[in-house]
Amino acid sequence: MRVLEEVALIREGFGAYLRRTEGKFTLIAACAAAFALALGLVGMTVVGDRQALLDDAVDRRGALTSAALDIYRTFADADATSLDAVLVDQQRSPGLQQKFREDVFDAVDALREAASRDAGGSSADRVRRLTDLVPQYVQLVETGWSASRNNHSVGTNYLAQASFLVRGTILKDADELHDEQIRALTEAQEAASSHAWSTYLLGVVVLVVLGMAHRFTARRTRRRVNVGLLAAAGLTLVALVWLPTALLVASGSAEDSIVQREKVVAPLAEARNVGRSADSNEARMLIYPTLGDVEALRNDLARIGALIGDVTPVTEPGPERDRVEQAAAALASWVDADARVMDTSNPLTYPQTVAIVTPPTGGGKTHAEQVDEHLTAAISAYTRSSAEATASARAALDGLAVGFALLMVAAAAAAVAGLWPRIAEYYR
Amino acid sequence: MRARAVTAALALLLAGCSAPTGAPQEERAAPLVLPYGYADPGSEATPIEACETAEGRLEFDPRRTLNPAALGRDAAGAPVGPTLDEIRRDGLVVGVSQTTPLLSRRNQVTGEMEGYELDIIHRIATELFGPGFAPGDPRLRLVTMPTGSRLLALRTGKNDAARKADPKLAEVPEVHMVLADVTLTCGRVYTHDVMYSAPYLTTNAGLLTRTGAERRSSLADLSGRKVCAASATTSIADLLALRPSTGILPVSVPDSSECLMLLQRGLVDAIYTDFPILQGLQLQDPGTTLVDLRGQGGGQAGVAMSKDHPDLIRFVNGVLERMRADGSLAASRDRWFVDEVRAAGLDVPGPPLDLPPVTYAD
Repeated sequence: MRVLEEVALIREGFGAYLRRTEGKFTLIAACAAAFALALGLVGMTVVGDRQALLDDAVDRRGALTSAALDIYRTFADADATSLDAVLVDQQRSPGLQQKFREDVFDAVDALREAASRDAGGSSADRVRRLTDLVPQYVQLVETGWSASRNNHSVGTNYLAQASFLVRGTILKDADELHDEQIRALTEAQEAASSHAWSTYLLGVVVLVVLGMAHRFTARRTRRRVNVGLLAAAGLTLVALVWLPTALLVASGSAEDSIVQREKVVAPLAEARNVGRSADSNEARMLIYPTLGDVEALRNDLARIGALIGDVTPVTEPGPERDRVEQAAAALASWVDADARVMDTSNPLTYPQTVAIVTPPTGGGKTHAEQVDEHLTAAISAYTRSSAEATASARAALDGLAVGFALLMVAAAAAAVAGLWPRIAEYYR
Repeated sequence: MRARAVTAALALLLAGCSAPTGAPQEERAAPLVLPYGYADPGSEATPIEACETAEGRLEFDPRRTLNPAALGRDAAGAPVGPTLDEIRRDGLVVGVSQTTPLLSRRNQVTGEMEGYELDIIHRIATELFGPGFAPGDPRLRLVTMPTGSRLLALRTGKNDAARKADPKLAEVPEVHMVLADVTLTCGRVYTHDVMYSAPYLTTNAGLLTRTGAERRSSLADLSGRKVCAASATTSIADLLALRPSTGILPVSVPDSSECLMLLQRGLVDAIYTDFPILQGLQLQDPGTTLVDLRGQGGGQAGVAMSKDHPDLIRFVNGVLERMRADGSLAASRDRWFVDEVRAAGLDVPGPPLDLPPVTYAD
């Protein structure tokens, strides 16, 4: 009972204090400082989250996307090489077998990279499923080669099954893994560079509080200018201008990165993947022909042409664009050469087809390999450029979180410092 | 001192109890990788109603072929006809299999095709193009046929209609004849308008199993076990018909050579198909046992051609007749199915089945 009476007395005393002018000044100072500190805290958190998103985009997502591309490419390469190794003469075969093993080695490396970057994430199951298939895939190919070396035609069945496994399961999963990562990367970049409307609103509230404080001070003390409150408002304004400016710059860079990735890198990567698929289609048609091979090859070549055609107009003149144009030229030669392979009314003999689809002697490259080489160079350059744009977006936010917080701490201190002399006057 | 030792022991015990045990290992099974087109139970060809009746079997009789004696000849005695003239001008295109050792396979070392059917093809080409023809001559083109669609490669009215109805089929290469152990069946005559030559091979079924202590010399010995055959063939039809009486589990794949892969990978226990095909499979895996099922399954194989090319059919029948007469057909058969098998150290089978007498439709 006595405690309640004491609490009631304190409340009454505090109310009486707030009704007095010094009490009102103290309340205003506390509110201004609290709002400024809250804005600092919110701004720091918002910017910190966005920096983390961009860091994730630069480091983890970028690496995952690149790993997913590598997984597709290396398995598709391995598929084409595993078949070429039995089409070429016995002396050239070991070189292609070694290339296959290197492709699988690189594929496993890329899988390991993807697994370490997304342990327990959405892609982890997919990566694990792909990894589970590698031993059987390699075993099928090695058994196929071994049987073929012993002149046993069952070798072609092993190789055909390995190819079916790659094309029917592994490449599909790798493609979906890449799509998943691209989506996640784009979402992260868009989220990181979008405007922080709630922070701006809180900033406006802080400015309003400071404005009202200034008006109250001017009326009660007849001092027209309170330097502390003006400084606090100035610091808040600096923070509120810096934040959207930095986000605008980051947004521009992120947009550049997204556009380059979606309009250039993604179609070129798809063209390269389709090219690898067409390359192995050609070889498989000789080893284990099935209905639909020619149509698939024709569609693949048309698709590569369409993708390169879409990309060319959106690229700036320069060495990267030259690479894209070189890929288009190599593709034209490839289509010419394969027109003979696909002509069912006048089918080529086995040796004639082998000569077209396997690497020429003397270390030369097939048309498919030339297209792949040019596309790979263009993809690397545009990926680097896209990653640099993401890094620029991240750089635009450098120091913003800490700077924003310090500005608002300073604003809070300035507001209190500006009002303190007025409060102190009543205690002299 | 003792107290310290006890304390240390207790500390170690506690540390051991609290040591992290790691995440529990998730139970997973290794993925099972099966070939494209694997069907369990096996996939049978769609039955042809016309071949279920006596009239239909007569109308689409696969043994009905054309007499070579009626083939037109020029003044010099050389056979002539529109298809033969076209072939002499543009070359002969023959559809073959490259995965059936002894019958027709590609030598992985030389890249050349070889086998009993290749001997027949070379003899046809030699007689067609004259003595100047030699292996490797560009006038003869051997085309490996897509599995399951080899007879669509012949230029016939029904095949043309099928190609128009399904644009996918347009990619099946066009050939003048198919020699790929094509068994003479009423259904194929009905579906593709093919006409066969006189038979060049008579077969029965066989059984290829892994060698071991257990007796597996008949389908009845394989009760509860998987037996493989190529899909849409007479062999898988046999297996499916025999399933209730033998208890076997028929499975099918697009090509009988894939059955060997499944047998080697332990995914099936036996392969059931034509005996000569199994001989070729056994050559590739000496760890298998081949059982000759005389009197069961099999049939006759002939050269499949378009019924719209009667001059070619008569010409091929003439070549086969001469090969029978001069003993070269039997010699070739013995070379591949006896000598090659003996050279590989496998059991030499009984004498090959005789070819049936030929009766021509005209």
